[in-house]
Amino acid sequence: MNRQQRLMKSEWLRLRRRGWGLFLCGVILLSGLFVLAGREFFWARSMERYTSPEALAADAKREMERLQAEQPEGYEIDLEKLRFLLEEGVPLSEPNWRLEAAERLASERKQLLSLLKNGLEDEQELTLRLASLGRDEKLIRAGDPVPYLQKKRAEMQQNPDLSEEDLALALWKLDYQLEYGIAEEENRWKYPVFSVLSGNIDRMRELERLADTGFLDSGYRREYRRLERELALDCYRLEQGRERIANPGSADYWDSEPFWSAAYQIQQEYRLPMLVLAALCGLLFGRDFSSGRMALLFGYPYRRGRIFSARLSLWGLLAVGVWLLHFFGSILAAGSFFGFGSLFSPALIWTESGVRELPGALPLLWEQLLDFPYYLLFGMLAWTLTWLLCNPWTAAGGTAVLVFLCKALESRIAYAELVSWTRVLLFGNLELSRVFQDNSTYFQNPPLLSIILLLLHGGVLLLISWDACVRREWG
Amino acid sequence: MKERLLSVQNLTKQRGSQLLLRRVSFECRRGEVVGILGPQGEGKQALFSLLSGASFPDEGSITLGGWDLAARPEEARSEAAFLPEHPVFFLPGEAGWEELEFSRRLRGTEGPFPHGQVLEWAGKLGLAEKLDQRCDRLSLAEQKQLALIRALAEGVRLLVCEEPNAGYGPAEIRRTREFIRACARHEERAFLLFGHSAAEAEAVCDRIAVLTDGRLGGFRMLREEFLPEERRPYRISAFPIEAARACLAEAGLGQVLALYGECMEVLLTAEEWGGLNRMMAERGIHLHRVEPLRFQDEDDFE
Repeated sequence: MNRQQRLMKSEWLRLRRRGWGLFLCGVILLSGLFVLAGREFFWARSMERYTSPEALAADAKREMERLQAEQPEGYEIDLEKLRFLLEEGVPLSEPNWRLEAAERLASERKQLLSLLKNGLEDEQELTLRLASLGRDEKLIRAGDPVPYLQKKRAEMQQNPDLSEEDLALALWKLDYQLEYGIAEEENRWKYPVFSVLSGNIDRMRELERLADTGFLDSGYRREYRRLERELALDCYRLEQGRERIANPGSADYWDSEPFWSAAYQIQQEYRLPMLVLAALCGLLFGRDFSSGRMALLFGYPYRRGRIFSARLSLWGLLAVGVWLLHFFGSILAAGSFFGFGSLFSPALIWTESGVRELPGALPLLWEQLLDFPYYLLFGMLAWTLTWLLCNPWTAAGGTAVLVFLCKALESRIAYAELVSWTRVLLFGNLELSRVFQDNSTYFQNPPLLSIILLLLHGGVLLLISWDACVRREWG
Repeated sequence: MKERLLSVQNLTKQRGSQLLLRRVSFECRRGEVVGILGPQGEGKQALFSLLSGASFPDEGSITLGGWDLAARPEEARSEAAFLPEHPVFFLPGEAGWEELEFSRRLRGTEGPFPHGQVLEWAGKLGLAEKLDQRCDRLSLAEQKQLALIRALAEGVRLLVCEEPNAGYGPAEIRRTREFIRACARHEERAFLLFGHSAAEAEAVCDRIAVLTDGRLGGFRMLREEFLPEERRPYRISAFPIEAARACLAEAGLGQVLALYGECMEVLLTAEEWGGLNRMMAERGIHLHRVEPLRFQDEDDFE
């Protein structure tokens, strides 16, 4: 065993004697995760209460009462629509073909009513449209989406107002629904996904039109790329029939399992590991500075630099422990509330070569890997302050204050849009997970800049603490 | 001549405008107990800090076990243990045995833990039954004794102790004094003791010197037993003293015990003294005074 290993082992043995401290750190860390998971769970439950079939049916009944009482223009159409939805038991909480068809039918009837009031001249057209709406109603009531979609397809093809491109897109959407059974009752999960996909395609068309006029800036280009990715993922999901997916970063709640969404949410929100890492500096050194133990250690056959690097390495190992606890703790906490049923759901990842399925935990792991350097940096700040102030608890407190001050300043600066130079200060541009998502405080941040800044910050802190350890006089 | 374990040459330390140590030079050999006395604030603490590596000298050098402390700190410190006035433990909340094993492992001392030897040392110090107790629950005197045993168990050859008897009762002082002398004599360990009580130092040390205002005075030899029979100690006062010292070094004569002001204390045979005398005369060095040093009688405790 060489000197470095011997010193590290001794430091570890000494630290292990303070097992209660480590245990306490672990308990605090896990407790926080469970509190956040509980909050997510109760939030989801309360949302479920508001969006439950009973609550939505009650809402619909209240709306019917209001319509009857106030009798606004075309209220009979809305009343009939709501009555139909309630009678047929159409789910109101999520997109489905009958709900959308009923909405569309009501809208077209109102349009027709308005035309009638304004004096529609062509009686033949009126008759035709009324007959068509009647057929629509029958098809919706029949509950079979295929004839309804085929009828819509035929109508589209005869619609002279649609451009060639719009027609092709509309036909593609209808054909896609028919081909993959999107609206079938047994595939109820598919319609909400398709609904998002359809909206994304429309937005992409809009962006393409903007590009044709030359108004597409880099922000829109990024949005277009994001939409492309989401389109590919949604298509893959619908075509391969992947109902349960992990994809924890997804913005749409039906896109990922609540378990993974909760795990991702608490993992992203939880900042306590930063303070735990800072507190671990205190636990490592404890009262070494004030008790004279540091001076005693300097009398042993180890260079100061070796003592510094052994302690830093040990702290680094503990930081990895904190990171693992955070990662597995997030999963454990989310699973305790939401169940582990979707633990093995795959995550869909978009790559240049196509969509790939990966274990569900990998995206979470990747996000946390990106967060880790930021945590380490604040730990390094506490480490440096510990050596400078010779009081680990003041250092941990100072770090906490600095973290919150930086965050507050960052928000103020972002609010004032003074973003050009402040990005290199205040630890504001270093959260790699946000930078990679293009979601950081500072707009248009290349990840490389953040990586360089992270290294610079870390290097400066390391140099300061090294200097404080190696050159300070303790006598 | 016994092996030199500690050699301090022209050590100078300044803090702000205050000069804490002024060209302090001395050495400590195997089996020798050397005392450095002085009132508080005269530089003892600064010297202890420099030796233990807690602070760095402005000038001069420290050699421990033949290794230069500045150039090879790890090798140098492996020869010495430093016992501050207020004992410090790595595992204050654990039993004495744990602390002893831990520190021995930390120092990297090879071989099995000397269980029997530790019990013997502890028995001599009256601490045998206390080794199972938590370090921080021992009295100050017991803690200091435990720190002493810790250093011995680590296998170091030089022990640098700050105020070794502070906080002790009369019985503990006597036991510790006997213990240190026995360790020095039988185990060939060297002790460098920092204190302020001349009576205590005289009772335990072979040589003592006084540190005043950062200057180390001449060593007073208290026991002859460590001197080679053919050499006798002389105090030489000459001008310039550095030239006289250069003569000694050039001719490979004698052994310088201490250097202070215009004086040096040297161990010389009669023949060496004759040679040195001639060389100094040839080089025009003005010899003020030469006097043989006398030793006190051995103490009754031996």
